[in-house]
Amino acid sequence: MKRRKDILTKAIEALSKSRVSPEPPQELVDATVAKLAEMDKKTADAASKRITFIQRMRSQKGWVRYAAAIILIVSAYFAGRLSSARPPDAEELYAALKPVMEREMLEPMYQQWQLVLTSSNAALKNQLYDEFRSALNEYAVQTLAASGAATNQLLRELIQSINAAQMQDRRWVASALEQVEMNRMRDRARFADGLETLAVLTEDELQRTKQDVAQLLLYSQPIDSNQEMHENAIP
Amino acid sequence: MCLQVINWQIIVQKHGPAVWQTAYRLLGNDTDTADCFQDTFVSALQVCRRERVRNFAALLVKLATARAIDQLRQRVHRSQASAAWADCKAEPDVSTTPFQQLQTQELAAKLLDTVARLPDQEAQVFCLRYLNGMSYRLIAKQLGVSTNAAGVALHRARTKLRRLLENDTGEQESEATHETAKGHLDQGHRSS
Repeated sequence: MKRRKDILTKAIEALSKSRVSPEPPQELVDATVAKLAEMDKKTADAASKRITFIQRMRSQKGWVRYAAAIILIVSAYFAGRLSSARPPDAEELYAALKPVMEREMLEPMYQQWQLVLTSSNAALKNQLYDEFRSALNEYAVQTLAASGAATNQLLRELIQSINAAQMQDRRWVASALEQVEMNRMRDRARFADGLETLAVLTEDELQRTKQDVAQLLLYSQPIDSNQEMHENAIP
Repeated sequence: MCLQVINWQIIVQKHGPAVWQTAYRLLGNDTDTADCFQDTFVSALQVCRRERVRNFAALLVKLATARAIDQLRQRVHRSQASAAWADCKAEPDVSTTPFQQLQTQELAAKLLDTVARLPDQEAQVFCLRYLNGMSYRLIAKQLGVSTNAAGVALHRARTKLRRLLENDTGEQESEATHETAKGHLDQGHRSS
């Protein structure tokens, strides 16, 4: 149970940690806003057809206010321009201000830059180190992933070749067993034939022997009877 | 007709990053995330026409999660998951080795694969809770269910995800053992 929990928790942590670019591209945001505005406009156009007379009058009141405000602003601008004195000469002003600006601004700016560059040297080095290390890590991860994929492919091919070899072995064994079985059947048939022939021959031989014995008995019978008579006469 | 006057530029600028991150975390590549981003805001506009929206952040995150899960499902159906999730990268961490980072990436991809296999509501509840850190109450409000129902859906999602993850991992671990055992068995049969 603990292992299961660990797997799920680890997976959630891994997904939460996955690198996400913090903001969408500006083009996408602009395109989305344009799309939404277009859809909104279509809706508004459809709705504006249903605007009543009173709403039109209300909206006209708003326009009157805006027009009055614009007129006021324009008249204030012209009044201000008429009442103001002659504008100062820009070249004179620039010539007067230039040495003061140089003295007051450039010198402190130069010193400030020196300070910033000196202090940021170490930070820059650290940042470069971190970036280099992160780039190396990323490269290693990609290489590992690629090598893992290649290894998996090779293993799949190996498994396929082993399976094919095993299948071939099985086919060979099956054909060998079939051949053995056929040989056995053929040998059995031959053996049966041979036994039958032997039995027939043996039977013939037995018949012949029986006849010979009978013949022999017939030939030997008279001799035996004469001998018996002779043996009876002697005592 | 829209029930409230909304400046969509401000809404997109304000909530765009959250929507983008929510979708990107689930989809893992720019192209799909961009589609999901636009779909989310279009859906939000349609929701605004129907009802008054009080919490735009929650609504947009919920819509982004739903759209992203739909795309994940389509991806699983197309069996292109591994290729598309290849873009998914873990946060660079100097304390872990590249191998550990790779393992983390694979685990994250596996979790996304299993999330895509969950029923719609369970997947949404799980993502909103664990990837966006929303409360049960807010999730329930956004999905239009009771808090108890959201809790039950989350529990079911966790149980199923554990089982699926364990099965996947178990299958991978046992594959090698199974192959070895099969080889031994075959050898035994042949020798007998």
